[in-house]
Amino acid sequence: MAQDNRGKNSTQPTRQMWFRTLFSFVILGLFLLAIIGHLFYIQVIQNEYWSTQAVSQQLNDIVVSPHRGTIYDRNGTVLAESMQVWTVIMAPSNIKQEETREKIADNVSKLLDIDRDELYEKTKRSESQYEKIASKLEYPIVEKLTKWIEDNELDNTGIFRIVTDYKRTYPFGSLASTVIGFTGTDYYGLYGLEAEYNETLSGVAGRLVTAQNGVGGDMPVTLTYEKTVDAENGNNLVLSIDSNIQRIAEKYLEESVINNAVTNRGVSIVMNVKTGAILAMAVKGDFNLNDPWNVQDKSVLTTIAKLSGDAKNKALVEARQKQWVNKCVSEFYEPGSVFKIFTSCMALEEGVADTKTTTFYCPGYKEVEDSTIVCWRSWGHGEQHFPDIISNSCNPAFITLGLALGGERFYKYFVGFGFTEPTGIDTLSEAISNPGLYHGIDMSNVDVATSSIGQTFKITPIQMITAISAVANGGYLLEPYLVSEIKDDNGNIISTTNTIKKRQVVSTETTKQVTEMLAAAVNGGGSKNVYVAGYRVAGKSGTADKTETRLDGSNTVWGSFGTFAPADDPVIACLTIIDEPHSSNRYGSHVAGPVCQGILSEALPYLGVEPVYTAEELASLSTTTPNVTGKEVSTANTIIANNDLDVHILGNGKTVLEQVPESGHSIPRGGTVVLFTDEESVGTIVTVPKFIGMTLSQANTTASKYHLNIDVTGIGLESGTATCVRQNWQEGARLEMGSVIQLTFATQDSIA
Amino acid sequence: MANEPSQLSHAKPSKIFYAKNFDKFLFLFVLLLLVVGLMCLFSSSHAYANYYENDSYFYIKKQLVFALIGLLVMFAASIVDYHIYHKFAAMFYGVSVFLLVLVLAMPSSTGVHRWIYLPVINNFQPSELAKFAIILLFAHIISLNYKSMGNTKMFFITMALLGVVCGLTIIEPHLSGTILLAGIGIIMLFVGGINRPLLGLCIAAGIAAVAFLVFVKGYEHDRIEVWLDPMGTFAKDRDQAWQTVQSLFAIGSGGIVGLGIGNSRQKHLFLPEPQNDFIYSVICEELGFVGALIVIVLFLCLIIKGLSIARRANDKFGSMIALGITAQIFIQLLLNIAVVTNSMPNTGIGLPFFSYGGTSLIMLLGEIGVLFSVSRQAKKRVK
Repeated sequence: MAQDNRGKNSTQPTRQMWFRTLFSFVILGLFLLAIIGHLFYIQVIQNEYWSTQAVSQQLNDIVVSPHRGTIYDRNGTVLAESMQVWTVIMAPSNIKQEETREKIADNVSKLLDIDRDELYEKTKRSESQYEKIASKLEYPIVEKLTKWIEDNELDNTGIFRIVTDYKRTYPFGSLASTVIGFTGTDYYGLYGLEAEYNETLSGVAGRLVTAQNGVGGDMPVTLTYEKTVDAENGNNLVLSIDSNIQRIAEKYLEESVINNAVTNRGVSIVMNVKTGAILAMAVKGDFNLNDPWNVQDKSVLTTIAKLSGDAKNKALVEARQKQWVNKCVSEFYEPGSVFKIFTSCMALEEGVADTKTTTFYCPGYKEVEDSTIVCWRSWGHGEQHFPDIISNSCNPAFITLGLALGGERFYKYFVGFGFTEPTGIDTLSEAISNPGLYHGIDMSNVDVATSSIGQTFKITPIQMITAISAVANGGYLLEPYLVSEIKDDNGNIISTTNTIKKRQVVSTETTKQVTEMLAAAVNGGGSKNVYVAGYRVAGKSGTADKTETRLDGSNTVWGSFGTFAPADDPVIACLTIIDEPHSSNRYGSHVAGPVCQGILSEALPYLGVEPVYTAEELASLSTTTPNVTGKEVSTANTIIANNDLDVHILGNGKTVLEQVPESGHSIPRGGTVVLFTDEESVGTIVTVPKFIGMTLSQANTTASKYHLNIDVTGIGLESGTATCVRQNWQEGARLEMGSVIQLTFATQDSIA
Repeated sequence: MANEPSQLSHAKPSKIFYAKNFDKFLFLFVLLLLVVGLMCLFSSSHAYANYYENDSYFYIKKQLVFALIGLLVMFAASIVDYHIYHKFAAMFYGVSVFLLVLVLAMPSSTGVHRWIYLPVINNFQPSELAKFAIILLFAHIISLNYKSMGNTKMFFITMALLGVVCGLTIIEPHLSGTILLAGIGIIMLFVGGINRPLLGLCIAAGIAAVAFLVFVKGYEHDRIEVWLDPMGTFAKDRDQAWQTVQSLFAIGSGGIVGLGIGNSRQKHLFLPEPQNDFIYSVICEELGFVGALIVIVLFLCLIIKGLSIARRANDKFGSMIALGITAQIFIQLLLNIAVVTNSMPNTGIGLPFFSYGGTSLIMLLGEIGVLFSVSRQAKKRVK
């Protein structure tokens, strides 16, 4: 300062000013150094932390759904498959203007058929990057949406993302629904095979990692990044189910469930007795696989509609869950007289009776210790041999056999036939039996007595058909299965299900004898409701009182029928159980017999089992209609007569203009061919009368009166008391004169 | 006082224009900063411009025009003899105060009254003008009253003048502008020889008041929360911490040498308005710590050049003007870098020469022009 010679009044900047300047800037410099230090810390020391954080937001990690495996039936028909669909995701955080929000809400809601206000609310979630606005969209809709997005120049805004996904579809709706089961919204199997084989079907999800900018859009080409981990597609299942047999079984079962006013559903199972393969497993009422959450049973819906509030919701949930349950494997029932098949096997195997010499006397009841057990025929069956007691389904006789065996031996075979263990069928929720459901080895004589006629214990339908199959195949208890093969995405076989023989329960000789007696009872005996022309069917009906008290106090039953055919070399077994029929005749032979009969009559020829007709059967067999169209009426008459057919001529023409049935049509011998000889007569229509309830002769008379042809199935040809239980064209239907109507006959004899 | 005739006679300009002695180094440093700044602006803005304006060149085109206008203003100012500002200093200040009041009546954008909307220059920030007005006014006062600067009366007069503009700026509210104004003013007053005990007291009182408002009253609580725990706040409320966290992501991704020029990922719509306050984050990401330091060194060259001009200036008026302009650039650099590195709570302030904006760039280059003018009449060296 002493050197400051620029003078006291100088305008020159002073040295002090310079020092103070330096002082200020050194302080600013210190701040700068501190900030540079912080910068170094963030940028160099914490580099890894911040880059990781940054990269995690700059990368878009998309889960690539694997293709869920297809479920095929044994013929390769698709029962369940995943189709590509699209999901639309919106990032409201990228919507800048209210105008855009309105536009999206108005238009996109219309395009996607979703609620406008709900969508508008979503567009206002300005912090959200992920709002799913629609899923499972099919291509045409997605195409329209994409076009709309482009037209409105929203395609580079990161507002919409459309990602591919899969949708599970079931081409046949309700077919085998309780067996196949369904998946939840995330394609996780919830019921049936979809659940049991979820891991096999679902595959492994893949990933697609791409670089994205701050609004979820694409990074420029120079900064793109893409890493793909391919999804591993799920494996395919090939079922043992044959969709044709399944359809046949469901058709007949549904008919019985409706006609007999069944309130607790019915089941029909068809099993290959040699392999354990389940060919059909039907439950009615079931549900639509494509719409599993809706209750299908109309009467249940009517009942629910009358409720309100919580009771209504509860009832709806219960009804929903009930329709999903595979009754064939998950519910217990009491078999009644069908079980006499096994009591017979035990008695013959242990030698307590034989088929020829042993006689039984039935006074109409049987006293066991303090109890009296009545026969269904109160006046008794009198003196009988073994085949008679099966045909008569005689309770006292079977109780006699049971008591002769004793509890210990009875229990041994009860276990042997698999009634105490799960069958091991490969589907979810097979009900596991427990000692509370049956009598143990130390059972009392009364227990033995009731058990030997199939009462006071419970089993599952799948246990029953597995045991019936054991009788049919010579005594071997098999493990039933639904999935015969697992194939990978490319069709290579990964695993094949082999037949598992668990054990031989009784000797082949014993089963042959029992089969013969069962077949005899079908052929004109007490089991004739399952008679199928051309095939020797073995079978036994059963009716069991439900012991549970019902609210309305009514007495309800399980009516069931167990069959297998052909008796000489059994191929399939078929079991039908009707739970709580409310028809006037609730016996198993009436409610379940015609179902088995119908299934066997179609399934056996379908499976290529050659019919073997008796002479009587042959006589009543069908013949083929000749071609007489265009011929002279007199010539036509002769030709038709030569084919064992009658003729009915309409009109006054000289030549035949049209004939019904047409040429090559199969109708029973003795049927009528209607000839139309002039224009006026062509296409004469008749109204179908009611055949149900008629005997065969009544039906024949009626048919010829109406100039219709009938094709008779079931018994009827050999039983005067059988009446028509089913006609394929309902009363009131309008058909061309001469058309063929199929009638099914069954007896009304009450055989328990 | 300001109208003492003996002092005024020394400050009388000899003429209106003075065009000798063009400062080539100053020009080199300014040009370097301007060119590098424009390059960085293009790199950081194109993705944002393409997305929001449908034109990658939207910001760079406008900024180039602003730079050219700015350079013309700079040359014009450089040949004006700076002594004429003695006449305009008080008027400039008056206009600034008027505009700062006027801006409060302007329609607010999200509760902030910071811009006056003009047809040609778009948005004009009166606080930009106020900075220059304070520099001229204080240079004017200090140069004429250097002797009496130390007395209490001068302290209150100058502090009142500074307080008015700072007060008007803070109620906009424009915190960074206030800090910048206060910083320039205090440094100039300190260098000009203001009463130091009073100044110390005043600064201490200011710090105490800020601490009281922030920590006791909970003013600016959200901003402070983000500052202290950016990632924690980000997890709770993305929007609130978004700017700061995105900036840290960008800077932290850079490492020592950066991702390479043009390769910033964060500028792709993660960083909000990367062409403005957070342009330095993009520089850090693309050029790394090395590039970030180079930019700072460029600024330091200019600052040292500015200080050298202040040191060699022909008179106190020129020296104080040069000091004020240099201090402004330095403080603005500090504030911007401190904000983007989260060294201080977030307040919006641009990086001189780099950030997009017409008013600030033209004003800045105009001030540099005044610096040239001071440099023209400065001595070659000081003994």
